Amino acid sequence: MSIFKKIIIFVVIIFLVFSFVFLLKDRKPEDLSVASDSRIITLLKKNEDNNNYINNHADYIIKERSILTQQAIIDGQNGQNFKEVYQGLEMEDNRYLKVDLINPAGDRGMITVLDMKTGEVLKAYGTILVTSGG
Amino acid sequence: MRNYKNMSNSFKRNLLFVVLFISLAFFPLARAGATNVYVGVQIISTEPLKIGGVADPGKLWCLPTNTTMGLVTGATPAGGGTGGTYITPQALTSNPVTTVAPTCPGGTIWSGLLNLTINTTYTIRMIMPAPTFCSGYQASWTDSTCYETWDVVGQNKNCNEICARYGQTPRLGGTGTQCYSYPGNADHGCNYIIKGVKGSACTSCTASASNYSYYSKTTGACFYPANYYSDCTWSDPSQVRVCACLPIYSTTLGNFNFSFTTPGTL
Repeated sequence: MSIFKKIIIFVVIIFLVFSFVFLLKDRKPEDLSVASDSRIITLLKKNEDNNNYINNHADYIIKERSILTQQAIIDGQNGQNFKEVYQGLEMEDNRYLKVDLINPAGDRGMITVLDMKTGEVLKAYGTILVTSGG
Repeated sequence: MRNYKNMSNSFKRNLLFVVLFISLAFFPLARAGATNVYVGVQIISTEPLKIGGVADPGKLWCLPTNTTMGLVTGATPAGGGTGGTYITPQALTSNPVTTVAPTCPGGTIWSGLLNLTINTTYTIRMIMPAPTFCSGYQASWTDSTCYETWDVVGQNKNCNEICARYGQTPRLGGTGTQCYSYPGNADHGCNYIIKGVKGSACTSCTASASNYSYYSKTTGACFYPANYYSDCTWSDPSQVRVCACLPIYSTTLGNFNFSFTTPGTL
């Protein structure tokens, strides 16, 4: 290989590396508060249980969507209810979105944790509410 | 190349096992009708607590702190009881769960994460450590006893009246007709029951028997009269009578079962 070709390859590699670093540096974290419902539903449907739930409850609603902070993750891990929802998450702000779906009767739902950094469904658990008393 | 028809029987069996293994690996039982869910029990009772048989709208019936709620396999056993096996929960949680605060109408107790099978009947078992509204209580594995007091000066009452004030009936000791407080054993009475309802230890005890039925509002001493077995109408206004009463609503309030069937789909 001639010295000229080597220089060209070296320059191209340097250019690519700098471009990559530049792009990463300029990439701002996504503002989860403005993520649209349709995008969230699209992500939820990646999970089979969520997909079944949505198909079985056409009139479901998003009861709650909350951006998990590090403190919220710690509180959840040490809380009384739904501990599994918060276990194993990285201590990172503005990365995870917890989405609660519920049917109009309020007795069947889904609790899901989305990793908005990767677009993956990390957790999906069902909820069944029964009433008691008189 | 071997023709399928010419395969040996042993090879066919091995092939069958391989196919079964692959099928099970790719379609685990969890996808065949079981799912991870949280089960919530919402208390919907709006019946107010009754004081002396009269509803008091300001006080609602609540499940006390340390109530346990868990899911048991199968339908509710006949007559209640404690039959069945608690379902093994997923990691990190427990079954049953124990409440850390009273649960009142509108409130919900959530189970741990459980792997339940669809279209299957389970029993929800709630065990309350003690009746909800008692001045004091003694719980045992068979039932619970409330200890109620009445200390309105000049209006001391007998145990029938005192228990009735709380919508309860006296728990009679001994032969079933005696109306002394019924601590159960020597660890109770002065050292447990009366201390519990008084809020502080007795300053002294006038006898070693366990059946202390009174304490003095002025001296804080606990005692019982000689005729405590039969005296149901003691009425010294300087003394507070402690009566054993059967809990509100049920003699076995501490154990409540009901069954439910999981839906076909979530």
